[in-house]
Amino acid sequence: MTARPIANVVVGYDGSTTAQTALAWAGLFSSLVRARVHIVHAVGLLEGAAMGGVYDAHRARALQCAVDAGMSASDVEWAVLNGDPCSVLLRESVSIPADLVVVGTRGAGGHSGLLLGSTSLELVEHSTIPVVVVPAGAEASPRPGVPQE
Amino acid sequence: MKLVVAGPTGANEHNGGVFHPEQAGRIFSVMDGVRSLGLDDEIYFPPTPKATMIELSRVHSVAYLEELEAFCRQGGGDLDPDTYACEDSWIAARRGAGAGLAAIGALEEGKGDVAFVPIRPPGHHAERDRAMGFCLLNNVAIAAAALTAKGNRVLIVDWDVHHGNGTQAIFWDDPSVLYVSTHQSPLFPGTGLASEVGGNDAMGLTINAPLPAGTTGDVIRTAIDEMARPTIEAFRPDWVLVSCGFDAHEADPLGQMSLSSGDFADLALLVREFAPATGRLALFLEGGYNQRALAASTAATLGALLGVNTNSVGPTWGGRGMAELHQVQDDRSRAIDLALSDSRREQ
Repeated sequence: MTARPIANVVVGYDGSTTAQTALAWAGLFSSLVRARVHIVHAVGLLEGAAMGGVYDAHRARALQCAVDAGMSASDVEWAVLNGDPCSVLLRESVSIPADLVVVGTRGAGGHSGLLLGSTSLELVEHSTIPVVVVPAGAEASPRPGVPQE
Repeated sequence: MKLVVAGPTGANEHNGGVFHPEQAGRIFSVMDGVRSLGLDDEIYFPPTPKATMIELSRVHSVAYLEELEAFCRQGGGDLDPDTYACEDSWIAARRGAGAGLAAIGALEEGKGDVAFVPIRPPGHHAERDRAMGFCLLNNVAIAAAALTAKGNRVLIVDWDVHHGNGTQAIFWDDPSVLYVSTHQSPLFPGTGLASEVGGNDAMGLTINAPLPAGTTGDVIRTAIDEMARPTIEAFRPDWVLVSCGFDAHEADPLGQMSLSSGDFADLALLVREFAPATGRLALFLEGGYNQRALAASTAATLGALLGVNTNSVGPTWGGRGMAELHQVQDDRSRAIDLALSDSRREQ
């Protein structure tokens, strides 16, 4: 495997706390390696029917989260795309093309040991680029991988 | 004309709560539509045993099937933000897939001229190893695979408002299946571009007509009758299966197309022209989430095929979509030319 600089990072974002944690980690990491962050919000069957203007609120919160993590707003993209989260993240990773995908783990009530119902595990299974899964409750450290003092 | 109704199945077992649009009431509405035809003596209800693992594994990976069964056995839950499974969903899904196979069997035995398969959960979003978009098992694909295993050529027409990404992916490289989809775009699942035309072994055997919100029935008819017809006639299907979603209806809450129940009647008559004989057409329920529209559309569709006047609302025309359809045809032609020239270069 040939190492290459990380220039584009895709982050899955659904507005949940775990997604915000993942975005904060991705924002901090990307600011350190000078990568662009592409925040992707997947619109499912149910959400497509009900959401409307809620996207604007999601977008504002997500962009603020990335900026708070150290990103310059001009290095952050936001996209709302139709599909289930795993398929959308895979498609967008190819389309950009991205070097890294970042997602949060699912919330409580998961089904340990099963691939079904877990976007993060499905991504790991199908992605051709590295995937970072940020656990719920994790705090973005000043340097990814370096414990806070 | 005699109707085979393989079902209903899934009304009681698969339950995601009253607030989920893919709910048991859909099946009751569809069966209201069937009953409104007043054809009690002309309907054959075959037994609908659960599909076996061998039948399911023609389409789905064994790993996925075992995982889905285990997921349900543990009580189920959310598979993605749209899709749920509960403890009995594994039974409901297998029963739905089995109903599709039973419909084919009944037609093969001459028990009817056309079959309707009122089942839930729906199927056309389910991929080989993934549940998606309310769908657990790809019912129409499982039936098509059973037919191709016996050497048949199968046309699948999918007029659900959403693209059938699962069906397309499953038969992407299969020259024995022609997949034709009309669907709203942009909309979930985000696939179904005109440039998606099939894999190397089935080049041109995927036909997608992505159309805008507000599309009326005349555009869907033109897409099938003019854009898809030459390929369908050259393909010469032995069987015609329909992914019969009614969510392109103007009243549906999950789509924004503008079809009426009368449009589905016209589409059914159009699609029947592609069947090589009577008894070679089966319609599988997919989406449709307005229960009055479901009942009216079911009655209009089956009534048209059986020659029963249902006083349905007339077909629609003059809305959006015709200009986009012309663009779809151009995009498709370009994609096929490009794929063929790539293929020649590789040789």
